[in-house]
Amino acid sequence: MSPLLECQGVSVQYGPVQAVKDFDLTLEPGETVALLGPSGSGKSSVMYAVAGFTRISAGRIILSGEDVSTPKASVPPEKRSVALVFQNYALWPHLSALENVAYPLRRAAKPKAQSLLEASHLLEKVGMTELSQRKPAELSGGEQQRVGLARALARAADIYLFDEPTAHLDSQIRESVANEIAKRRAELGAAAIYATHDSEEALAIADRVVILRSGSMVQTGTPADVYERPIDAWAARLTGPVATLNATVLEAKPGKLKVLLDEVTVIAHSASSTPTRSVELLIRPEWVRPGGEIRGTAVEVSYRGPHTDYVISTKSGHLVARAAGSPRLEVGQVGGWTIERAWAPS
Amino acid sequence: MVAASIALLVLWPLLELVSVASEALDGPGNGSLVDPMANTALVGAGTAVLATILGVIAALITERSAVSGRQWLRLGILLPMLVPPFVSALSWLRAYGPGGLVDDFSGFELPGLFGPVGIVLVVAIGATPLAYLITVASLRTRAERDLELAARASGARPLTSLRTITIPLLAPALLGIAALTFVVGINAFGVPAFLGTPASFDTVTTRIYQDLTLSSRPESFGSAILLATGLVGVALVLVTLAEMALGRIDAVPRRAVPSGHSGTRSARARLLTILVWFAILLTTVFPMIALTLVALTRGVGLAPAPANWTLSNFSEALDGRFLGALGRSALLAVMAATTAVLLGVMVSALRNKLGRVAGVTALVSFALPGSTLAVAVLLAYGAGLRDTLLLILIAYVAKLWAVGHRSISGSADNLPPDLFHAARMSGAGVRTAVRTIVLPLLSPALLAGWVLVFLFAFHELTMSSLLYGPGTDTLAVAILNLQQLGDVQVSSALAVILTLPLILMAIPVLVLGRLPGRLMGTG
Amino acid sequence: MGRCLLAISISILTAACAGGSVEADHESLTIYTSVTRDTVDAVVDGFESTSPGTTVEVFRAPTGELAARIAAELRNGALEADILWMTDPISIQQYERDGLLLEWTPDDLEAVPGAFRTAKSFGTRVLNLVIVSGHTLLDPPRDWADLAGVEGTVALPDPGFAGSAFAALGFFALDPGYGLQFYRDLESNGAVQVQSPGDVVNGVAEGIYAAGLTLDRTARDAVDDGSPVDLIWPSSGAIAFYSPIAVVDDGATSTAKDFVDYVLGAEAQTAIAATGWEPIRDDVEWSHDGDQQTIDWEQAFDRQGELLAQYREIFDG
Repeated sequence: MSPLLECQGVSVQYGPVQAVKDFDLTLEPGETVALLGPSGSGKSSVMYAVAGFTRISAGRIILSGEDVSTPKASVPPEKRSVALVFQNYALWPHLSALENVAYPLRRAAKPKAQSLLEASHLLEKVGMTELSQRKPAELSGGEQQRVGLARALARAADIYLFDEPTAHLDSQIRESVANEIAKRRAELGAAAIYATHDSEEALAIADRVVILRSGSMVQTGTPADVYERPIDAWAARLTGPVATLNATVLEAKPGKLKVLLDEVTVIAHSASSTPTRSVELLIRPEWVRPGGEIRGTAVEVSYRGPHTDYVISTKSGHLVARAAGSPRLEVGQVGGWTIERAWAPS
Repeated sequence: MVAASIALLVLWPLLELVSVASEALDGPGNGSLVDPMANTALVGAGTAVLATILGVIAALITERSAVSGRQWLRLGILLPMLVPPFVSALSWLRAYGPGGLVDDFSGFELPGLFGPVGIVLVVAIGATPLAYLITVASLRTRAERDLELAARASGARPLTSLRTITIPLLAPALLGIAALTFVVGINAFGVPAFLGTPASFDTVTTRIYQDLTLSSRPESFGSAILLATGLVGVALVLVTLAEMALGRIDAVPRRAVPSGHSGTRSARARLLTILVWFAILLTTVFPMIALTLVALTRGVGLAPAPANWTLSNFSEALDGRFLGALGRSALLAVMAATTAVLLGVMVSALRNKLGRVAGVTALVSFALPGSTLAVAVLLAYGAGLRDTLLLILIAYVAKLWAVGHRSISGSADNLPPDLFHAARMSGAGVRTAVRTIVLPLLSPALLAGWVLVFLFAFHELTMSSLLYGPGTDTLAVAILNLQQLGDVQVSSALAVILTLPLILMAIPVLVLGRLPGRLMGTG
Repeated sequence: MGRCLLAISISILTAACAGGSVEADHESLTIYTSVTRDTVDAVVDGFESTSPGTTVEVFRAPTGELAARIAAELRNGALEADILWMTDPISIQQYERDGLLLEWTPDDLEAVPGAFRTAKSFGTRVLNLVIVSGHTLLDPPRDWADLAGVEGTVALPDPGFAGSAFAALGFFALDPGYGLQFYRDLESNGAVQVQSPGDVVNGVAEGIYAAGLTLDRTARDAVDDGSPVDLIWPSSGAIAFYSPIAVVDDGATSTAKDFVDYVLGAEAQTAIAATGWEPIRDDVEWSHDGDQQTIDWEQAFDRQGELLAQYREIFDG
């Protein structure tokens, strides 16, 4: 089966600003990809280019084997099999929730009665049956979000784009929406792209994560790839809390390093085996265990309920740690820690 | 294409004007132009001072004191917008002039009504709604209520907080308002034509009118053009100033304005409300009543008592020829409103550099003195279109499309583009998306813009008095000619016909359509 | 979207153009006139009903404005009017001398008294300058000379604005019995100048002025409306002048001649009388209020500039 979407070397230019540079992406049927990056990294531009709102300045976009965007020509948005959930919902204020959802069905030339019926089914799926006659202004942010989702679902599309949904859905709704999309994936081979700056959301929802920085793709991979083997310190910080420490290399093997940190030997995974004398180690908080030979003073202790976060000042720099249970140390106390794992990007 | 139509409407006539004016500069008889210029500056300055003060006071009263019936008071303050300036002048004559209603009952007549004092009074009252609207918008965007409350919490008394916080915050806006109302003053034609000419008090605009339509001397054409060019120069400089000073009003995003507010309904607030109502009564309502009474009275000099009432002046006013003029005024107004709104939509649709240039041109053309624009349009199109309604329509659209543009662009800018995108995303083509989403959402603004342009065009006198010909006189021109011939009663009846029905029709639109806010693109 | 809307607006503009422009129809006639609106309307309506298929475009404006329009049109090329119909005999003199007007003989030429016509322009009605006085005046003026002794302000129409006022100026200046001294005496008695004869009557009716110089019909209308004024026919006679009509030389000549013939005919003259103006024909019924006196209007025209300048010296200087 051919990929649903291919972006080949796509660039987007706004005047002097290059919002997207040489972007490649392949989306297979049934796949969910998260675009992860800070604001201004080009996530929305990629979305809008795929949707057909933004003309690309280089490269091409292929949907189901058909060229839809080139620098010279563009298939209009309504002719693409793409649905978009907007960042600020973009519900039409003069239409009720039901009419908003029925709108794409009407555009698909379905009779009015049938459109309204299908729309009310969709609203039921997102738990909005009671409020279907309300205008958007009379709905809360979360409720508007659900109507926006239902409207996107009403468009029988191959690809669902989620542009930074700002209101979080409660788990029950998320599940039913996920089920709905999964069903469509199975039936129609649909796929989804989810743009967000929230790494937890991206890691939880996606089959694959694409990290964007200033319009360029920095890294792509499974959630575990990008979390455990970030390409650099910037990508590591984007995907979660991390400590960066410098260590001396004792021994280098392919994919593995033996390093000296605070006079303690630590085994680190590494992307390359090029021998260097010193290396920057990335250490996630849950890779650090209480008790051990690395001594440090607690400078921040934050109780989070199920676990406690610590910032520890060591000779090599600040270390972050996460341990189950209530705080074991107070600020200013010295304790020992063990680094179970570390990652040395190339 | 939008650019082309704007160029044809505004830029070409102006270029034509400047080129002819540079030739006329060497012509004879330019010495006598000093008086009208000085008079015009006087009227402009007087209008700016008076209208700014009145507008600010009115705004502070409706927005900053706990008055009851605030919505109605706001409407009352905007009432002069619905009365064409020359009808105001006529109604003041009938109310406070020699032989007016007050004179009849008490022997009092307003001294100096004929001349600069009367002109400034009437023009300034007409310009007060503009000053009021901008002040209200500025109060909301720059001098928020919280800042004053903070001053009060820091120990300032109400007047101290007004003096030390509110007024300094408003200062740039006040400058802008003064500049705009100055332009209104120097562009005024109807009022000086009715109140200045009989006292030999000529302004630039009345002089242009006399040179162009009352004088057969060949050199007067040149002097009219020189005056027109000078007027446009001053107006443009001032409007640019005003735009710079007021720019931030539009730039600040609209936010929810707390409708009610704290503050007690004090006796002072009640007194202020009564004072404002009294002023509205005195300046607008009573003169209109006087005008209507004169129109209803059988003969000049008779007491306006029911015994002397007759409808014959109205039946004469609704006679064939005037009915034609009424029809033409209405036709021109409908055409101008429709065309201006369409142009406004097109310009608002251009969200690019050209759109911004067009937006600026729109403002410029609104600031253009009607007299100047009429002369320019005459020069550019007079050869082929002289004496046609189309010529007047071109002038109207050139002048008024800015009103359409401004009222629409305010709303269009507040319309998130994603609403359009969402429609495209739902399978709607451009046209379907415009029809089902954009137009329904913009329709209140479109309606408001249409009504505003219609009002301005229907009441227009300055340009039509310079451009009309056989069979193309408008109702306003007919009134001007009748008044010049001394036909007090029929001209009064026509003025009532021109004004009252629209006031009655406009009030529901004002109430429902939030028209004034849209005029300023804010609030 | 822009394109579609532009197309709509263009089509609207085109429609406005078609609706607004004056069709250059063969059977259409354009009249430039400063004569009172109701009088013109009455005559035009009558003419249109007797000549079906002919449409008459009337451009009506005060004398000064009409002169400006004619001057502007001459500057741009040609006069668009087929007929000029002026309030007073002086305003038409310039065009007569410039050779703009057609010389011809109307059917009813003899019905127009010799003093009220020239070779090219023909009187259509007689206007009488009279005195209007307010009810409050204890000793109302009886004749022109009494005006200078009225107790109160006397109002005069502006000869620069109203043709009738210039007719008065011409009469008094050229009559050796009055001369410009007439105006000097009025001025020293506090007389003021207003714009039109209508303004004079309104001012007197409102009690602003005690008396004034105006036209007979204007004063008569006010009296009929019940205004507190009296029409006083000067004992030495009202100043009579006439409203001339003429055919423009290159105008739609045959229809224009028909119109002039119609105006001079009994039917139109009866209609003119019905609007309150004295008809030019003496076979149309009219009740004369008193004597009339008149002067040679061509002579007044010759001295127009000089007389106006002298008048201005008295009233503005």
